[in-house]
Amino acid sequence: MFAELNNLLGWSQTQLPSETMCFVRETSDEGSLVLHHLMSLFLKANGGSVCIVGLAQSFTHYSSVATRLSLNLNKLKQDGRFVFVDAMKHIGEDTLVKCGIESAGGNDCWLNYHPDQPHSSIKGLFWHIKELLKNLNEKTVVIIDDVSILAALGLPVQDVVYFIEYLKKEVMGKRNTLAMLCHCTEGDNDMELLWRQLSYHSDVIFEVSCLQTGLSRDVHGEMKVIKKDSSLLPGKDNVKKVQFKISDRNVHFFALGLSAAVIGH
Amino acid sequence: MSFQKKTRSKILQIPGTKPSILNNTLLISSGVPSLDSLIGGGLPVGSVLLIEEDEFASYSQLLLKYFIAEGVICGHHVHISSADKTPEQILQELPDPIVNDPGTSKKPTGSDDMTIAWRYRNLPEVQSVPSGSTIGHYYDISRTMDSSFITAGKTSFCDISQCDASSKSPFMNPHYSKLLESIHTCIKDHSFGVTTTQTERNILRIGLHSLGSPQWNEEGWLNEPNDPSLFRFLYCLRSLLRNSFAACLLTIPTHLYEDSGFVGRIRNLCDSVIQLKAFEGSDKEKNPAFKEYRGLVNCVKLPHLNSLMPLVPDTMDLAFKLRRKKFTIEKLHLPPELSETASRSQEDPVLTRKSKLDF
Repeated sequence: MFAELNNLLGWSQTQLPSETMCFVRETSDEGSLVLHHLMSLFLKANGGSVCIVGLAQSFTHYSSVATRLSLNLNKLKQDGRFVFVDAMKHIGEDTLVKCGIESAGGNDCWLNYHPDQPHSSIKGLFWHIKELLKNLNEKTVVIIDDVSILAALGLPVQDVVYFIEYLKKEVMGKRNTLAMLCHCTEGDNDMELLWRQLSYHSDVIFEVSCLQTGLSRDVHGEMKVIKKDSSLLPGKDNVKKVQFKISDRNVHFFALGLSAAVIGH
Repeated sequence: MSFQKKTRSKILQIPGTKPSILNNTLLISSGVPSLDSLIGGGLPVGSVLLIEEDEFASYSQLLLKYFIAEGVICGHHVHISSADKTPEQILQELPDPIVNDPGTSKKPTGSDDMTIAWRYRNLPEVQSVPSGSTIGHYYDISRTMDSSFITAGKTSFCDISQCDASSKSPFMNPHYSKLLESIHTCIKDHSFGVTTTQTERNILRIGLHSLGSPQWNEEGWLNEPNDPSLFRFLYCLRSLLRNSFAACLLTIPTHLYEDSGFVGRIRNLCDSVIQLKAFEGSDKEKNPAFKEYRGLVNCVKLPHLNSLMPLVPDTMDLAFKLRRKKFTIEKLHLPPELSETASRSQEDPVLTRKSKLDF
């Protein structure tokens, strides 16, 4: 949990975001810090729980990061406050079955690539998550680590958007929070379409990118936070731009050009 | 009740590996010590390193050979696959290891002695000899590895050029699915999976040469504009590696692809990405500023596993040198200014002096 990011968004352990859809658009590789923040924020709050759909990383990765943020995911898992969907492993095994390398086991198919069946592509994964959400309480965040992988695997962008829409309805219905990350490089038209569509559905958008002026040891990147809030005036109030520096256990956020190295502390 | 000595049974002892200090991963050497230090001490087991090929693929292939040779020397299991060459041929062409340890060899003094700025003589060379490293060797590329090493090593191959492409599956290009099958069988047969109980652990090194080259029939397999076979393969490979004691180095000729979005997706599915840009055939070959170097290294992505903090290199201006016994990645330096006037011209000072006598 990074206190400075909480201040920026008006969140805290007692005031968790609810009924919010957070969307992280990353062009660099550091967008996952927002997901790590949400994970630790909900797990440190009283009675909060987290469900991570791991498409990009294995459980070990999240567990190691959580250890640095003084959380024990294995224990929280036993307590029923943390659920990990090992989608990478499942889809990997699924791929082996589809190629005819492994015989089909008890696994149900999560992704259906056949384009002739409309909107049915990610049904398996959706039903699995829906089933898990039944056991989780009110203060839950569902985190999808890298939606762009679904599109990269050959699923139509529209189907990915439908999947997120259904999931949003399911999660919001219980006043919970949904967070997702999408990686994109310039020139990838499909991904940019996915970006725009998901941004449209989101309440808070985080745009994480590299420092425009080049590599720096003191600033790891820039983040633009756009908050869609009808009570705020459009423009100035709901768009914030910060730079950040990641350390071993924390992330420091500061206004543009005001890193510790510049102002000489 | 008696006191018992605490045994360090939990730490894995596999030859050719070392634990990472930053995060709890196991590292193996890529075969080039300076590349190891660039990617954070070594290649993490369970990850994929992508080398984006230079135009003539000569240096990327050399890196692949270093990676495989390092595996043979350490006694790791080596799995080689290629569509452009036979994997056996790659194995025959491995460079010869230099037996004495790179860390202990003293720097030769004498002709290389500095005549000015001698104060800096004792400074270590930038990045060329990483400190505290116990993994990695140097190789002599003018000689090939002794065949007794190769026959003693544990190797397996997957020759794509021999693959029968007639079995048309709508899901994946048969070349990729054949490769996937061979990797999967190798992991299963030799119990490299993390869940298997094995008394003697070993590492599997997977070396894939020119993945996605035209030989792999990349374009238009499924009659779709964007064939997702390569992405499906890379994703499944990552999923397999994360659950086994294996690491993969692959080279892809990304400069052959027109679509930058396609390359971006490939990069996103690999854990670390290094791009080589050789000077051969370009204007930079003749530029005196780059006289010492063979090409530039672009560090596109560094491994970001098990930690919050990303790896940040000292500099992004990196170049590589190739000598007979050493492939090094170094910070790019401009050559010293030798002329009397302070302004730096783009011409070689030695050449211009000669040209004055030349009429």
